Amino acid sequence: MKKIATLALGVLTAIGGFMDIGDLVTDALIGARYGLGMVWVTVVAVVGITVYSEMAGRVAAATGRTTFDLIRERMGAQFALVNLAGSYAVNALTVVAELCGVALAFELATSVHYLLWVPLVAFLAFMVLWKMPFEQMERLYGVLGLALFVFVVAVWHLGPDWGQMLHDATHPAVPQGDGRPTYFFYAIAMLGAQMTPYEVFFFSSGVVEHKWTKDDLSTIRVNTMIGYPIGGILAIGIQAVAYLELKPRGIQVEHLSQTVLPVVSAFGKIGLAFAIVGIVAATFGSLLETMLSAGYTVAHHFGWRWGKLEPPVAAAKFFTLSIVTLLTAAGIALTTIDPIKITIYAVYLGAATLPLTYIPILVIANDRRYLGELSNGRLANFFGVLYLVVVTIVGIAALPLLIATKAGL
Amino acid sequence: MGRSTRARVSAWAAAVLLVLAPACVGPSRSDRDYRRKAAESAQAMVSTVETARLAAEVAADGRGAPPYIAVVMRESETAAQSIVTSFSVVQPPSESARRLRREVLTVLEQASSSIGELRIAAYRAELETMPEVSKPLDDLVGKLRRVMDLAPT
Repeated sequence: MKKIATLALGVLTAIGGFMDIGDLVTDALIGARYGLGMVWVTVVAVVGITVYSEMAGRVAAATGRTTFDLIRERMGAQFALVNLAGSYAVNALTVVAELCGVALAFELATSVHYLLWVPLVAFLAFMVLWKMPFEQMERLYGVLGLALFVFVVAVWHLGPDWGQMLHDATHPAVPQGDGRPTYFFYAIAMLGAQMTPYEVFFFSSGVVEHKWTKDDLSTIRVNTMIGYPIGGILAIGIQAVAYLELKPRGIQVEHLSQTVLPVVSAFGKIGLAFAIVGIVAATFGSLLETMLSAGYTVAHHFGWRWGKLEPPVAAAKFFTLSIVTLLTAAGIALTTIDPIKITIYAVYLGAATLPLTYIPILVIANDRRYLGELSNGRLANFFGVLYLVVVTIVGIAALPLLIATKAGL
Repeated sequence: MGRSTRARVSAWAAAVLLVLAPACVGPSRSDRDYRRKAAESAQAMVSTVETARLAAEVAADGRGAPPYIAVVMRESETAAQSIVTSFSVVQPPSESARRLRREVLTVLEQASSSIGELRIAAYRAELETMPEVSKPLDDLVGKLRRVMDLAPT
């Protein structure tokens, strides 16, 4: 029974890790603009993040060490430092987006401007990190994040033409008036939103912190192979409600309030309540994860003592860095920079830097000196190499597309 | 200035330009380009108007909580004002473009004003009055869609 509970909680954490402000905004934006024409990107992203999270988890379980710890040793200090700089920058930008996401969700519930919530949300995140029992908080927001299933239920309630939906999802096409560069810009943004690097770092660090070993491989696989696909279903649900309610009206999503509008249309105030609870849980959880991931990557690289379960005094540098990242993010958010634009840039740059995350994982997962019999088999390598090619193409195309499309305008 | 310093400065300048470029609004060089800008402004305003209309519909039925509806209307009004401002500063290249500007700007400003009325009603929690307040938008959205049709193919 305890094993089932542990598995369930791990799955919930994976779902929560998949859904964050980047996903919420990008899914709604794309559903309103392209309908179900990018469901294929979600499917691709779910398989990719599952493959690489399982790999990173397996590496951590087999070696007792995290990805960044091994990158420096295996691939050299220079590569590791470049990797670290890119990953930290994307993580830090994502912290800004998640912080704004939580504040925006509070604004929807209270109509108090989100900027007034930013300092309070930052303080709450600090208190959770500093004082509260992290594992219990992780479980709480994991469970509450399930409220986002209101989007999936709303699809049923809105009574769609299922045949047309299936046709649109399986026959993606660039809409008239939209160029291919813009279409692929948003495809990359979606991929970045759903294959965020911090998920892999956080998962890998969690395996080490919980002292999982090769005996826990089944747990790692259940968490990733069930958790992420369920997260993918949620993502498709958000795209679908936007497709059903916003696209026919010509509504382009520019605010979080529009993401929620279809659910309010379907279920009224109770739907709104579920959506807000789910958004707060998902984005607050992601805020904590990205904050910690920013600390993990640096701590692992420099060999600092680290861990969300460690007392702050014992891992002072790690906690200081996580908190400084949070405070800097709050400062940036308070400059009134558009939170939706920051979110799009964060997911897009995340996609552009995916090769930095995935290349080292694939190399180490194939190294028998570290993993022995647990190193990659043919299936893992087939998908690993396939996705590496995909993310490398994405990484090369990202900046030219960003310029050519003026960030999707 | 040494060669490496010059290269560094050039790289930074290029990076700054890349970031700022999307924010720059240029003049319209031709009637065709001006019609495209008018159509794009109308399309953006349709999105804003339809958001406000859907929120008004939901509010009138009692489905939307007042704080949420207030946020939607405030954001819609801000977006509408931004669209009006962005279009109004584009220099029309010809007399016919100038006439088009007057027509389109009138519709955009009317839409923005109507959304402002919805925002006021929302903040006063007068949600039951929203169908009445949003009536002008029914006609305006049709006019905006006709402007969208001006987009050159």
